[in-house]
Amino acid sequence: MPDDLREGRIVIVGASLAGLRAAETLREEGFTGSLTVIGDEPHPPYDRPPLSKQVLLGRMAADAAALPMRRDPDAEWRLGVRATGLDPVGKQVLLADGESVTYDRLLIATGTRARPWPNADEAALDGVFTLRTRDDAGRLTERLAAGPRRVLVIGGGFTGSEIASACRERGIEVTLAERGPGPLVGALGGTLSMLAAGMQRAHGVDLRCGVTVTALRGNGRFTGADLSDGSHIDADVCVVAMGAVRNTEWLAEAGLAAGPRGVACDAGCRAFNMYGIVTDDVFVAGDAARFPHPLFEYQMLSLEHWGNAVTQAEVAAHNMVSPEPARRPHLAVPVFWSSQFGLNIKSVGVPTFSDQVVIAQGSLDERRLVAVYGYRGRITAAVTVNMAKWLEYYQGLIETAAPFPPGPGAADGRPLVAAFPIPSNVPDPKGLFHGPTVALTGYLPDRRLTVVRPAD
Amino acid sequence: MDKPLAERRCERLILPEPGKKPGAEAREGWLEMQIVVDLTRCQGYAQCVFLAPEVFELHGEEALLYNPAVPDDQLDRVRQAAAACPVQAILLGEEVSAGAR
Repeated sequence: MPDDLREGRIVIVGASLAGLRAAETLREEGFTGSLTVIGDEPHPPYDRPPLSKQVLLGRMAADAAALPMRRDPDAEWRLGVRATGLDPVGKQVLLADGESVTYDRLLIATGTRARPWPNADEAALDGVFTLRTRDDAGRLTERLAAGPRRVLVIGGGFTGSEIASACRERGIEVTLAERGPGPLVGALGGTLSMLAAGMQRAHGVDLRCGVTVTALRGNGRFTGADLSDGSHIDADVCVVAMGAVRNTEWLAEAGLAAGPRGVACDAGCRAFNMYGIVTDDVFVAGDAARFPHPLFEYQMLSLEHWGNAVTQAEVAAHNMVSPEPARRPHLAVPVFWSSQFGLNIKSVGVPTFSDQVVIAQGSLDERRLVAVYGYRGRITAAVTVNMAKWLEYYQGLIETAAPFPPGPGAADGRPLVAAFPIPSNVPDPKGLFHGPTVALTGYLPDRRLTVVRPAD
Repeated sequence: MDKPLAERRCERLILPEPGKKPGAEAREGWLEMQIVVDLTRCQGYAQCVFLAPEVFELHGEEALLYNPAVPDDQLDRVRQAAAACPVQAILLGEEVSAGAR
Protein backbone atom coordinates (compact mmCIF):
# COMPACT_ATOMS: atom_id res chain seq x y z
CA MET A 1 0.00 0.00 0.00
CA PRO A 2 1.35 3.43 -0.81
CA ASP A 3 2.36 5.50 2.17
CA ASP A 4 -0.01 8.22 1.14
CA LEU A 5 -3.51 6.85 1.40
CA ARG A 6 -4.72 9.49 -1.03
CA GLU A 7 -2.93 7.71 -3.84
CA GLY A 8 -3.05 4.20 -5.25
CA ARG A 9 -5.82 2.09 -6.70
CA ILE A 10 -9.24 1.81 -5.12
CA VAL A 11 -11.86 -0.57 -6.46
CA ILE A 12 -15.52 -0.40 -5.44
CA VAL A 13 -17.60 -3.47 -6.17
CA GLY A 14 -21.23 -2.39 -6.36
CA ALA A 15 -22.52 0.50 -8.47
CA SER A 16 -25.65 1.45 -6.60
CA LEU A 17 -26.28 4.03 -3.89
CA ALA A 18 -23.47 3.02 -1.52
CA GLY A 19 -20.93 2.57 -4.32
CA LEU A 20 -21.70 5.96 -5.84
CA ARG A 21 -21.66 7.88 -2.56
CA ALA A 22 -18.41 6.19 -1.54
CA ALA A 23 -16.78 7.12 -4.86
CA GLU A 24 -17.81 10.75 -4.46
CA THR A 25 -16.61 10.87 -0.87
CA LEU A 26 -13.22 9.44 -1.80
CA ARG A 27 -12.67 12.37 -4.16
CA GLU A 28 -14.07 14.87 -1.65
CA GLU A 29 -11.53 13.59 0.84
CA GLY A 30 -8.72 14.18 -1.59
CA PHE A 31 -8.14 10.76 -3.14
CA THR A 32 -6.21 11.33 -6.36
CA GLY A 33 -5.45 7.76 -7.37
CA SER A 34 -7.31 5.54 -9.79
CA LEU A 35 -10.89 4.59 -8.96
CA THR A 36 -12.86 1.77 -10.55
CA VAL A 37 -16.52 1.00 -9.85
CA ILE A 38 -17.84 -2.41 -10.87
CA GLY A 39 -21.57 -3.09 -11.19
CA ASP A 40 -23.41 -6.18 -12.41
CA GLU A 41 -26.38 -4.22 -13.74
CA PRO A 42 -25.80 -2.49 -17.07
CA HIS A 43 -27.24 0.78 -15.74
CA PRO A 44 -25.57 3.73 -14.07
CA PRO A 45 -26.47 4.06 -10.36
CA TYR A 46 -30.21 4.54 -9.83
CA ASP A 47 -32.54 4.93 -6.91
CA ARG A 48 -34.58 1.89 -5.89
CA PRO A 49 -37.24 3.21 -3.46
CA PRO A 50 -39.38 4.76 -6.24
CA LEU A 51 -39.59 1.39 -7.99
CA SER A 52 -42.22 0.04 -5.60
CA LYS A 53 -44.06 3.37 -5.42
CA GLN A 54 -44.07 5.97 -8.22
CA VAL A 55 -43.06 3.44 -10.88
CA LEU A 56 -45.71 0.84 -10.03
CA LEU A 57 -48.29 3.61 -9.86
CA GLY A 58 -47.38 4.49 -13.44
CA ARG A 59 -46.31 8.03 -12.53
CA MET A 60 -42.76 7.68 -13.76
CA ALA A 61 -40.85 5.35 -16.03
CA ALA A 62 -38.77 2.62 -14.44
CA ASP A 63 -35.63 3.90 -16.18
CA ALA A 64 -36.07 7.50 -15.00
CA ALA A 65 -34.69 7.09 -11.48
CA ALA A 66 -30.97 7.65 -12.12
CA LEU A 67 -29.22 8.94 -9.02
CA PRO A 68 -27.78 12.45 -9.24
CA MET A 69 -24.09 12.77 -8.47
CA ARG A 70 -22.90 15.10 -5.73
CA ARG A 71 -19.76 15.53 -7.80
CA ASP A 72 -18.20 13.61 -10.64
CA PRO A 73 -16.10 10.94 -8.95
CA ASP A 74 -13.87 10.63 -12.00
CA ALA A 75 -14.13 6.87 -11.89
CA GLU A 76 -13.89 4.12 -14.43
CA TRP A 77 -17.34 2.53 -14.48
CA ARG A 78 -17.38 -1.14 -15.40
CA LEU A 79 -21.10 -1.73 -15.66
CA GLY A 80 -22.86 -4.90 -16.70
CA VAL A 81 -20.12 -7.16 -15.44
CA ARG A 82 -20.39 -9.20 -12.27
CA ALA A 83 -17.56 -9.68 -9.80
CA THR A 84 -17.13 -13.42 -9.39
CA GLY A 85 -14.28 -13.71 -6.96
CA LEU A 86 -11.72 -12.01 -4.78
CA ASP A 87 -8.06 -12.89 -4.44
CA PRO A 88 -7.00 -11.20 -1.20
CA VAL A 89 -3.35 -12.17 -1.58
CA GLY A 90 -2.92 -11.01 -5.16
CA LYS A 91 -5.34 -8.15 -4.37
CA GLN A 92 -7.50 -8.74 -7.39
CA VAL A 93 -11.21 -8.70 -8.08
CA LEU A 94 -12.12 -11.36 -10.62
CA LEU A 95 -14.81 -10.53 -13.14
CA ALA A 96 -17.35 -12.64 -15.01
CA ASP A 97 -15.82 -11.65 -18.36
CA GLY A 98 -12.54 -13.30 -17.34
CA GLU A 99 -10.73 -10.06 -16.61
CA SER A 100 -9.48 -8.97 -13.24
CA VAL A 101 -8.92 -5.62 -11.57
CA THR A 102 -6.08 -4.97 -9.15
CA TYR A 103 -6.62 -2.89 -6.03
CA ASP A 104 -4.71 -1.44 -3.14
CA ARG A 105 -7.92 -0.93 -1.18
CA LEU A 106 -11.31 -2.47 -1.90
CA LEU A 107 -14.84 -1.47 -0.95
CA ILE A 108 -17.51 -4.15 -1.01
CA ALA A 109 -20.93 -2.61 -1.68
CA THR A 110 -22.67 -5.44 -3.48
CA GLY A 111 -25.94 -5.06 -1.58
CA THR A 112 -28.76 -7.55 -1.88
CA ARG A 113 -30.99 -9.13 -4.46
CA ALA A 114 -34.59 -10.26 -4.24
CA ARG A 115 -35.03 -13.66 -2.66
CA PRO A 116 -36.37 -15.86 -5.43
CA TRP A 117 -39.30 -18.26 -5.15
CA PRO A 118 -37.65 -21.50 -4.01
CA ASN A 119 -39.12 -23.70 -6.76
CA ALA A 120 -37.26 -22.70 -9.93
CA ASP A 121 -39.84 -24.19 -12.31
CA GLU A 122 -42.68 -22.34 -10.62
CA ALA A 123 -40.61 -19.16 -10.47
CA ALA A 124 -40.08 -19.39 -14.23
CA LEU A 125 -43.82 -19.21 -14.98
CA ASP A 126 -44.77 -16.21 -17.06
CA GLY A 127 -46.37 -13.72 -14.68
CA VAL A 128 -44.20 -14.49 -11.64
CA PHE A 129 -42.03 -11.54 -10.64
CA THR A 130 -39.67 -10.28 -8.00
CA LEU A 131 -39.02 -6.58 -7.47
CA ARG A 132 -35.53 -5.30 -6.85
CA THR A 133 -34.11 -3.82 -10.04
CA ARG A 134 -35.40 -1.22 -12.45
CA ASP A 135 -35.77 -3.95 -15.07
CA ASP A 136 -37.97 -5.91 -12.64
CA ALA A 137 -40.05 -2.78 -12.03
CA GLY A 138 -40.41 -2.07 -15.74
CA ARG A 139 -41.69 -5.57 -16.47
CA LEU A 140 -44.05 -5.64 -13.51
CA THR A 141 -45.47 -2.20 -14.29
CA GLU A 142 -46.14 -3.24 -17.85
CA ARG A 143 -48.07 -6.24 -16.58
CA LEU A 144 -50.04 -4.14 -14.09
CA ALA A 145 -50.92 -1.69 -16.86
CA ALA A 146 -52.40 -4.56 -18.87
CA GLY A 147 -55.09 -4.88 -16.19
CA PRO A 148 -54.68 -8.25 -14.52
CA ARG A 149 -57.73 -9.67 -12.77
CA ARG A 150 -55.83 -10.31 -9.56
CA VAL A 151 -52.30 -9.99 -8.27
CA LEU A 152 -50.96 -12.34 -5.62
CA VAL A 153 -48.25 -10.82 -3.44
CA ILE A 154 -46.25 -13.33 -1.40
CA GLY A 155 -44.76 -11.65 1.66
CA GLY A 156 -46.08 -8.85 3.84
CA GLY A 157 -42.89 -6.90 4.44
CA PHE A 158 -42.40 -3.33 3.29
CA THR A 159 -41.90 -4.18 -0.37
CA GLY A 160 -44.83 -6.58 -0.50
CA SER A 161 -47.10 -4.13 1.29
CA GLU A 162 -46.06 -1.25 -0.99
CA ILE A 163 -46.77 -3.42 -4.04
CA ALA A 164 -50.21 -4.31 -2.67
CA SER A 165 -50.84 -0.62 -2.00
CA ALA A 166 -49.89 0.38 -5.54
CA CYS A 167 -52.11 -2.34 -7.01
CA ARG A 168 -55.11 -1.19 -4.99
CA GLU A 169 -54.50 2.39 -6.00
CA ARG A 170 -54.60 1.24 -9.61
CA GLY A 171 -57.85 -0.56 -8.95
CA ILE A 172 -56.35 -4.03 -9.24
CA GLU A 173 -57.56 -6.83 -6.97
CA VAL A 174 -54.82 -8.09 -4.66
CA THR A 175 -54.32 -11.03 -2.38
CA LEU A 176 -51.40 -10.76 0.02
CA ALA A 177 -50.20 -13.97 1.66
CA GLU A 178 -47.97 -13.78 4.72
CA ARG A 179 -46.75 -16.72 6.72
CA GLY A 180 -46.38 -14.68 9.92
CA PRO A 181 -49.20 -13.26 12.04
CA GLY A 182 -49.45 -9.98 10.13
CA PRO A 183 -47.88 -7.57 7.65
CA LEU A 184 -44.78 -5.63 8.75
CA VAL A 185 -44.64 -7.65 11.97
CA GLY A 186 -41.03 -8.63 11.36
CA ALA A 187 -39.83 -5.04 11.38
CA LEU A 188 -42.37 -3.30 13.62
CA GLY A 189 -43.77 -5.93 15.98
CA GLY A 190 -47.37 -6.79 16.82
CA THR A 191 -49.03 -3.42 17.55
CA LEU A 192 -48.20 -1.63 14.33
CA SER A 193 -48.75 -4.84 12.41
CA MET A 194 -52.37 -4.64 13.55
CA LEU A 195 -52.58 -1.11 12.13
CA ALA A 196 -51.00 -2.25 8.87
CA ALA A 197 -53.40 -5.18 8.59
CA GLY A 198 -56.35 -2.88 9.22
CA MET A 199 -55.18 -0.45 6.55
CA GLN A 200 -54.71 -3.23 4.03
CA ARG A 201 -58.20 -4.61 4.61
CA ALA A 202 -59.74 -1.12 4.59
CA HIS A 203 -58.19 -0.61 1.16
CA GLY A 204 -59.61 -3.86 -0.14
CA VAL A 205 -56.58 -6.13 0.08
CA ASP A 206 -57.51 -9.77 0.51
CA LEU A 207 -55.03 -10.31 3.35
CA ARG A 208 -54.22 -13.89 4.31
CA CYS A 209 -51.94 -14.27 7.32
CA GLY A 210 -50.65 -17.39 8.99
CA VAL A 211 -50.65 -19.25 5.70
CA THR A 212 -47.92 -20.37 3.38
CA VAL A 213 -48.06 -20.64 -0.36
CA THR A 214 -47.49 -24.28 -1.16
CA ALA A 215 -47.41 -24.16 -4.96
CA LEU A 216 -47.59 -21.73 -7.84
CA ARG A 217 -49.80 -23.10 -10.60
CA GLY A 218 -49.83 -22.59 -14.32
CA ASN A 219 -48.94 -24.12 -17.61
CA GLY A 220 -46.25 -21.85 -18.88
CA ARG A 221 -48.28 -18.94 -17.63
CA PHE A 222 -49.06 -18.30 -13.95
CA THR A 223 -52.73 -18.90 -13.17
CA GLY A 224 -52.89 -19.14 -9.40
CA ALA A 225 -51.49 -20.54 -6.20
CA ASP A 226 -52.33 -23.10 -3.54
CA LEU A 227 -52.27 -22.03 0.10
CA SER A 228 -51.52 -24.19 3.11
CA ASP A 229 -55.07 -23.76 4.46
CA GLY A 230 -56.35 -25.69 1.46
CA SER A 231 -57.60 -22.65 -0.44
CA HIS A 232 -56.61 -21.65 -3.94
CA ILE A 233 -56.08 -18.14 -5.32
CA ASP A 234 -56.79 -17.45 -8.97
CA ALA A 235 -54.47 -14.70 -10.18
CA ASP A 236 -52.60 -13.65 -13.34
CA VAL A 237 -49.64 -12.02 -11.66
CA CYS A 238 -47.59 -13.15 -8.69
CA VAL A 239 -45.01 -10.96 -7.00
CA VAL A 240 -42.62 -12.82 -4.74
CA ALA A 241 -41.65 -10.32 -2.01
CA MET A 242 -39.90 -12.62 0.40
CA GLY A 243 -37.10 -10.35 1.44
CA ALA A 244 -33.56 -10.03 0.24
CA VAL A 245 -30.49 -12.20 -0.17
CA ARG A 246 -27.10 -10.62 0.43
CA ASN A 247 -24.75 -10.71 -2.52
CA THR A 248 -21.80 -12.34 -0.80
CA GLU A 249 -21.43 -15.62 -2.71
CA TRP A 250 -18.66 -14.15 -4.84
CA LEU A 251 -16.60 -13.84 -1.64
CA ALA A 252 -16.82 -17.55 -0.78
CA GLU A 253 -13.13 -18.16 -1.44
CA ALA A 254 -11.92 -14.79 -0.24
CA GLY A 255 -11.24 -15.78 3.35
CA LEU A 256 -13.51 -13.04 4.68
CA ALA A 257 -16.18 -13.29 7.37
CA ALA A 258 -18.83 -13.25 4.64
CA GLY A 259 -22.02 -15.27 4.58
CA PRO A 260 -25.78 -15.07 4.14
CA ARG A 261 -26.02 -12.34 6.76
CA GLY A 262 -23.47 -10.13 5.10
CA VAL A 263 -19.80 -9.30 5.45
CA ALA A 264 -18.85 -8.68 9.07
CA CYS A 265 -16.90 -5.50 9.67
CA ASP A 266 -15.80 -3.29 12.53
CA ALA A 267 -17.33 0.08 13.37
CA GLY A 268 -14.91 1.64 10.91
CA CYS A 269 -16.28 -0.51 8.04
CA ARG A 270 -13.12 -2.65 7.81
CA ALA A 271 -14.04 -6.24 6.92
CA PHE A 272 -13.12 -9.10 9.22
CA ASN A 273 -11.42 -12.11 7.77
CA MET A 274 -12.71 -15.59 8.57
CA TYR A 275 -10.56 -15.74 11.72
CA GLY A 276 -12.18 -12.60 13.06
CA ILE A 277 -9.04 -10.54 12.38
CA VAL A 278 -9.78 -7.14 10.98
CA THR A 279 -8.35 -6.40 7.53
CA ASP A 280 -6.99 -3.02 6.62
CA ASP A 281 -7.49 -3.03 2.88
CA VAL A 282 -11.01 -4.43 2.50
CA PHE A 283 -13.95 -2.27 3.54
CA VAL A 284 -17.67 -2.87 3.33
CA ALA A 285 -20.74 -0.60 3.27
CA GLY A 286 -24.47 -0.71 2.65
CA ASP A 287 -26.82 -3.69 2.67
CA ALA A 288 -23.93 -6.14 2.33
CA ALA A 289 -22.35 -5.03 5.61
CA ARG A 290 -22.88 -6.42 9.07
CA PHE A 291 -21.53 -4.14 11.75
CA PRO A 292 -21.57 -3.72 15.54
CA HIS A 293 -23.65 -0.94 17.04
CA PRO A 294 -23.02 0.32 20.58
CA LEU A 295 -26.64 1.42 21.09
CA PHE A 296 -27.78 -2.14 20.57
CA GLU A 297 -25.35 -3.93 22.84
CA TYR A 298 -22.78 -4.18 20.08
CA GLN A 299 -24.89 -6.70 18.26
CA MET A 300 -24.03 -6.99 14.61
CA LEU A 301 -26.69 -5.20 12.55
CA SER A 302 -27.54 -5.91 8.93
CA LEU A 303 -29.58 -3.03 7.57
CA GLU A 304 -31.43 -2.73 4.29
CA HIS A 305 -31.87 1.00 4.54
CA TRP A 306 -31.30 3.78 2.05
CA GLY A 307 -29.87 6.13 4.67
CA ASN A 308 -27.48 3.54 6.02
CA ALA A 309 -26.09 2.90 2.56
CA VAL A 310 -25.25 6.61 2.32
CA THR A 311 -23.77 7.18 5.77
CA GLN A 312 -21.87 3.92 5.92
CA ALA A 313 -20.41 4.53 2.46
CA GLU A 314 -19.26 7.97 3.59
CA VAL A 315 -17.59 6.57 6.69
CA ALA A 316 -15.98 3.72 4.75
CA ALA A 317 -14.63 6.09 2.10
CA HIS A 318 -13.28 8.47 4.72
CA ASN A 319 -11.51 5.65 6.52
CA MET A 320 -10.07 4.26 3.28
CA VAL A 321 -8.08 7.44 2.77
CA SER A 322 -7.40 8.38 6.38
CA PRO A 323 -4.64 7.25 8.73
CA GLU A 324 -5.73 5.46 11.88
CA PRO A 325 -6.08 8.41 14.30
CA ALA A 326 -8.35 10.23 11.84
CA ARG A 327 -10.71 7.34 11.25
CA ARG A 328 -14.35 7.59 12.21
CA PRO A 329 -16.88 5.04 13.49
CA HIS A 330 -20.20 4.38 11.76
CA LEU A 331 -22.58 5.13 14.60
CA ALA A 332 -25.62 6.49 12.79
CA VAL A 333 -28.94 5.45 14.32
CA PRO A 334 -30.86 3.37 11.76
CA VAL A 335 -33.70 5.24 10.04
CA PHE A 336 -36.03 4.03 7.34
CA TRP A 337 -39.35 4.93 5.78
CA SER A 338 -42.16 3.38 3.81
CA SER A 339 -45.25 4.87 2.23
CA GLN A 340 -48.26 2.68 1.69
CA PHE A 341 -52.05 2.99 1.80
CA GLY A 342 -51.73 6.73 2.32
CA LEU A 343 -49.56 6.31 5.39
CA ASN A 344 -46.05 7.62 5.80
CA ILE A 345 -44.27 5.21 8.13
CA LYS A 346 -40.86 6.17 9.47
CA SER A 347 -38.71 4.34 11.95
CA VAL A 348 -35.67 5.33 13.98
CA GLY A 349 -33.61 2.94 16.07
CA VAL A 350 -34.18 -0.80 15.98
CA PRO A 351 -37.80 -1.75 16.77
CA THR A 352 -36.90 -5.43 16.84
CA PHE A 353 -34.48 -4.67 19.68
CA SER A 354 -37.30 -4.29 22.17
CA ASP A 355 -39.43 -6.05 24.71
CA GLN A 356 -42.17 -3.44 25.08
CA VAL A 357 -43.95 -0.80 23.05
CA VAL A 358 -46.15 2.14 23.98
CA ILE A 359 -48.15 4.54 21.84
CA ALA A 360 -46.75 7.85 23.00
CA GLN A 361 -48.66 10.21 20.72
CA GLY A 362 -51.71 9.89 18.51
CA SER A 363 -53.62 6.63 18.25
CA LEU A 364 -54.26 3.64 16.05
CA ASP A 365 -57.77 4.97 15.34
CA GLU A 366 -56.45 8.28 14.05
CA ARG A 367 -53.90 6.44 11.93
CA ARG A 368 -51.50 9.01 13.16
CA LEU A 369 -49.18 8.05 15.97
CA VAL A 370 -45.77 7.62 17.47
CA ALA A 371 -44.98 4.17 18.83
CA VAL A 372 -42.00 4.07 21.17
CA TYR A 373 -40.13 0.83 21.74
CA GLY A 374 -38.14 -0.03 24.83
CA TYR A 375 -35.78 -2.70 25.98
CA ARG A 376 -35.18 -3.22 29.68
CA GLY A 377 -36.27 0.24 30.57
CA ARG A 378 -34.59 2.31 27.89
CA ILE A 379 -35.86 3.64 24.60
CA THR A 380 -34.44 1.74 21.61
CA ALA A 381 -36.72 2.75 18.74
CA ALA A 382 -39.64 4.89 17.63
CA VAL A 383 -41.97 4.56 14.67
CA THR A 384 -44.05 7.46 13.41
CA VAL A 385 -47.14 7.07 11.26
CA ASN A 386 -47.96 10.37 9.53
CA MET A 387 -46.04 12.20 12.26
CA ALA A 388 -42.59 12.32 10.71
CA LYS A 389 -41.70 15.65 12.28
CA TRP A 390 -41.39 13.91 15.64
CA LEU A 391 -38.79 11.40 14.53
CA GLU A 392 -35.82 13.59 15.37
CA TYR A 393 -37.02 14.15 18.91
CA TYR A 394 -37.21 10.43 19.56
CA GLN A 395 -33.87 9.87 17.88
CA GLY A 396 -32.40 12.11 20.56
CA LEU A 397 -34.02 9.96 23.25
CA ILE A 398 -32.60 6.80 21.69
CA GLU A 399 -29.12 8.27 21.40
CA THR A 400 -29.14 9.27 25.05
CA ALA A 401 -30.59 5.94 26.25
CA ALA A 402 -33.57 7.78 27.78
CA PRO A 403 -35.77 5.75 30.14
CA PHE A 404 -38.68 3.72 28.79
CA PRO A 405 -41.58 4.34 28.86
CA PRO A 406 -41.10 8.02 28.03
CA GLY A 407 -42.60 10.18 30.78
CA PRO A 408 -46.04 11.71 30.27
CA GLY A 409 -45.58 14.86 28.28
CA ALA A 410 -42.17 13.78 27.09
CA ALA A 411 -43.13 15.02 23.67
CA ASP A 412 -46.12 17.27 23.25
CA GLY A 413 -47.48 17.67 26.75
CA ARG A 414 -50.26 15.16 26.21
CA PRO A 415 -50.58 12.17 28.46
CA LEU A 416 -49.53 8.86 27.04
CA VAL A 417 -52.38 7.35 25.10
CA ALA A 418 -51.66 3.87 26.28
CA ALA A 419 -50.67 4.29 29.89
CA PHE A 420 -49.26 0.81 30.07
CA PRO A 421 -46.62 -0.49 27.72
CA ILE A 422 -47.45 -3.80 26.13
CA PRO A 423 -45.15 -6.51 24.77
CA SER A 424 -43.71 -5.48 21.44
CA ASN A 425 -44.29 -8.99 20.04
CA VAL A 426 -41.37 -9.17 17.70
CA PRO A 427 -41.48 -12.62 16.14
CA ASP A 428 -38.60 -14.84 15.21
CA PRO A 429 -37.90 -13.93 11.57
CA LYS A 430 -37.71 -17.64 10.73
CA GLY A 431 -41.50 -17.83 10.82
CA LEU A 432 -42.10 -15.04 8.33
CA PHE A 433 -42.25 -14.66 4.59
CA HIS A 434 -40.73 -11.21 4.81
CA GLY A 435 -37.40 -10.13 6.22
CA PRO A 436 -37.23 -7.59 9.01
CA THR A 437 -34.99 -5.16 7.01
CA VAL A 438 -33.20 -4.52 10.30
CA ALA A 439 -31.72 -7.85 11.20
CA LEU A 440 -30.20 -8.40 14.60
CA THR A 441 -27.77 -11.02 13.51
CA GLY A 442 -26.83 -12.10 17.01
CA TYR A 443 -30.06 -12.80 18.89
CA LEU A 444 -33.40 -11.27 19.78
CA PRO A 445 -32.71 -9.54 23.09
CA ASP A 446 -35.66 -11.04 24.95
CA ARG A 447 -34.60 -14.54 24.04
CA ARG A 448 -31.38 -15.68 25.61
CA LEU A 449 -30.13 -17.85 22.86
CA THR A 450 -27.91 -17.61 19.87
CA VAL A 451 -28.62 -19.52 16.74
CA VAL A 452 -25.51 -20.69 14.98
CA ARG A 453 -26.04 -21.65 11.39
CA PRO A 454 -23.36 -23.09 9.16
CA ALA A 455 -22.72 -20.97 6.08
CA ASP A 456 -24.52 -22.47 3.13
CA MET B 1 -34.37 41.52 -12.83
CA ASP B 2 -34.04 38.31 -14.77
CA LYS B 3 -36.10 37.60 -17.83
CA PRO B 4 -39.32 35.69 -17.22
CA LEU B 5 -38.88 32.01 -16.62
CA ALA B 6 -40.53 30.89 -19.86
CA GLU B 7 -38.36 33.16 -21.98
CA ARG B 8 -35.12 32.00 -20.43
CA ARG B 9 -36.04 28.41 -20.95
CA CYS B 10 -36.69 29.00 -24.66
CA GLU B 11 -33.12 30.10 -25.23
CA ARG B 12 -31.91 26.60 -24.59
CA LEU B 13 -34.88 24.45 -25.29
CA ILE B 14 -34.66 22.06 -28.17
CA LEU B 15 -38.25 21.35 -29.00
CA PRO B 16 -39.25 17.74 -29.25
CA GLU B 17 -41.01 16.46 -32.35
CA PRO B 18 -44.74 17.10 -32.22
CA GLY B 19 -46.63 14.42 -30.40
CA LYS B 20 -43.52 13.14 -28.75
CA LYS B 21 -42.64 13.63 -25.14
CA PRO B 22 -39.33 15.35 -24.54
CA GLY B 23 -37.02 12.40 -24.42
CA ALA B 24 -33.30 11.81 -24.63
CA GLU B 25 -33.03 13.27 -28.12
CA ALA B 26 -34.79 16.46 -27.08
CA ARG B 27 -32.34 16.90 -24.26
CA GLU B 28 -29.27 16.45 -26.37
CA GLY B 29 -26.69 19.02 -25.48
CA TRP B 30 -28.32 19.38 -22.10
CA LEU B 31 -27.11 18.21 -18.81
CA GLU B 32 -29.38 15.41 -17.75
CA MET B 33 -30.59 16.65 -14.39
CA GLN B 34 -31.90 14.24 -11.81
CA ILE B 35 -33.07 14.65 -8.26
CA VAL B 36 -33.12 12.40 -5.29
CA VAL B 37 -34.86 13.28 -2.03
CA ASP B 38 -33.36 11.97 1.17
CA LEU B 39 -36.63 10.71 2.60
CA THR B 40 -34.81 9.70 5.74
CA ARG B 41 -34.48 13.43 6.36
CA CYS B 42 -37.74 14.66 4.78
CA GLN B 43 -40.29 15.76 7.37
CA GLY B 44 -43.09 16.61 5.01
CA TYR B 45 -42.91 20.42 5.16
CA ALA B 46 -43.97 20.28 1.50
CA GLN B 47 -42.22 23.49 0.45
CA CYS B 48 -41.13 21.63 -2.68
CA VAL B 49 -44.74 20.72 -3.47
CA PHE B 50 -45.69 24.40 -3.48
CA LEU B 51 -42.69 25.48 -5.52
CA ALA B 52 -42.63 22.70 -8.12
CA PRO B 53 -46.00 20.94 -8.08
CA GLU B 54 -45.32 19.19 -11.36
CA VAL B 55 -42.34 17.39 -9.86
CA PHE B 56 -43.26 16.91 -6.20
CA GLU B 57 -46.57 15.79 -4.72
CA LEU B 58 -47.82 14.61 -1.40
CA HIS B 59 -49.31 11.18 -1.39
CA GLY B 60 -51.64 11.09 1.57
CA GLU B 61 -50.86 13.45 4.44
CA GLU B 62 -47.09 13.50 4.35
CA ALA B 63 -45.56 10.88 2.06
CA LEU B 64 -43.64 12.60 -0.72
CA LEU B 65 -43.67 11.31 -4.29
CA TYR B 66 -41.53 12.96 -6.92
CA ASN B 67 -40.27 12.55 -10.45
CA PRO B 68 -36.49 11.97 -10.30
CA ALA B 69 -35.96 12.97 -13.95
CA VAL B 70 -36.41 16.72 -13.94
CA PRO B 71 -38.23 18.00 -17.04
CA ASP B 72 -36.28 20.83 -18.64
CA ASP B 73 -38.98 23.38 -18.04
CA GLN B 74 -39.05 22.55 -14.33
CA LEU B 75 -35.37 22.98 -13.63
CA ASP B 76 -35.55 26.46 -12.14
CA ARG B 77 -38.50 25.54 -9.99
CA VAL B 78 -36.70 22.45 -8.73
CA ARG B 79 -33.64 24.56 -7.91
CA GLN B 80 -35.86 26.84 -5.85
CA ALA B 81 -37.44 23.85 -4.15
CA ALA B 82 -34.04 22.40 -3.29
CA ALA B 83 -32.94 25.73 -1.84
CA ALA B 84 -36.15 26.16 0.13
CA CYS B 85 -36.29 22.70 1.68
CA PRO B 86 -36.12 23.30 5.45
CA VAL B 87 -34.20 20.07 6.01
CA GLN B 88 -32.12 20.30 2.80
CA ALA B 89 -33.19 16.86 1.65
CA ILE B 90 -33.22 17.50 -2.12
CA LEU B 91 -30.13 16.77 -4.18
CA LEU B 92 -30.06 17.95 -7.77
CA GLY B 93 -27.30 16.81 -10.06
CA GLU B 94 -26.24 15.01 -13.18
CA GLU B 95 -26.51 11.29 -13.45
CA VAL B 96 -23.49 9.15 -14.16
CA SER B 97 -23.37 9.08 -17.94
CA ALA B 98 -23.32 5.68 -19.58
CA GLY B 99 -19.94 6.11 -21.23
CA ALA B 100 -18.42 7.70 -18.14
CA ARG B 101 -14.88 7.01 -17.30
